[in-house]
Amino acid sequence: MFKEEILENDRRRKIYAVIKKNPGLHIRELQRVLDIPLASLQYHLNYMARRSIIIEEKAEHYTRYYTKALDPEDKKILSILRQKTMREIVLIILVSKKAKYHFLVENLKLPTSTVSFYIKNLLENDIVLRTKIGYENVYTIKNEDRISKVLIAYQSSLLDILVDRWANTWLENRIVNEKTKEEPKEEDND
Amino acid sequence: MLSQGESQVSLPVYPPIAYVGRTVFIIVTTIIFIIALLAYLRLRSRKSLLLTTGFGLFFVHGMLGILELFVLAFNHDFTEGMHLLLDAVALTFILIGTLKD
Repeated sequence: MFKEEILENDRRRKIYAVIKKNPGLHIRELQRVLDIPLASLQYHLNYMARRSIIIEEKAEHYTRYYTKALDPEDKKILSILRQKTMREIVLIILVSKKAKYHFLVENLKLPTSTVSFYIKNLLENDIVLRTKIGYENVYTIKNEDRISKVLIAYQSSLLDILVDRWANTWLENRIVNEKTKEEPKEEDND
Repeated sequence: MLSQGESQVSLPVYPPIAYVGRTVFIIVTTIIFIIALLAYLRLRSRKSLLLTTGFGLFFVHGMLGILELFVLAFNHDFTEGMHLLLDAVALTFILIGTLKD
């Protein structure tokens, strides 16, 4: 399910990138450039137009598409979601609507301390909300439409890849430490 | 024209390896420092702050080396001991950052 959703998101990102590069393209031109079935393309365009990620401009025979510029709040979120693990956490919560802490740890296959660190960062930046249900913490996305928009608009750069690898390298020793320690309780991690 | 007794202060000429070595050093330290700084700005953790400070000191060291070659005001001719001390402080930050949980 996740893989499918992530692939869908990737497809939307490709469509968004083409529209951004060539503003004013209509659906037939987009189909020729992207080589995506027309029905699927129409579905993604409607999805993005509904969420105000792109703008539709209806002319006589065609509907032309344009991207919408990111506002300062979008840019702030984008700077945080440039970190791969942050994007993965947000995508998991976005796809499953709400996610428990252990569910995130299982899906990310990362040490609990690393997951806690990233979640704390997302909570501090108002991207994720935490609700306590019984003994467990449940995470939801604060503004789904805005986050979807930012994730689609995001384009990876060489610098992003370098920073990601740098962060992973220095976090690796957390994994080694984790193996020697007893797994802490969930309450301790959050 | 300089009057008698006055001497013209000019930059000393260094061997070519000094120019090449210091240029390569500043390029590498700048790249590492930028990556470390960006990682810190994204993660805002104490661990990444310590690492960024360590690599930042290497960058400052590289900068001083370059300025020493081309700017008279910076031509203090640091002793080898001073250079080693600066590197030792930088490495200490990196060590603490690496070992910090």
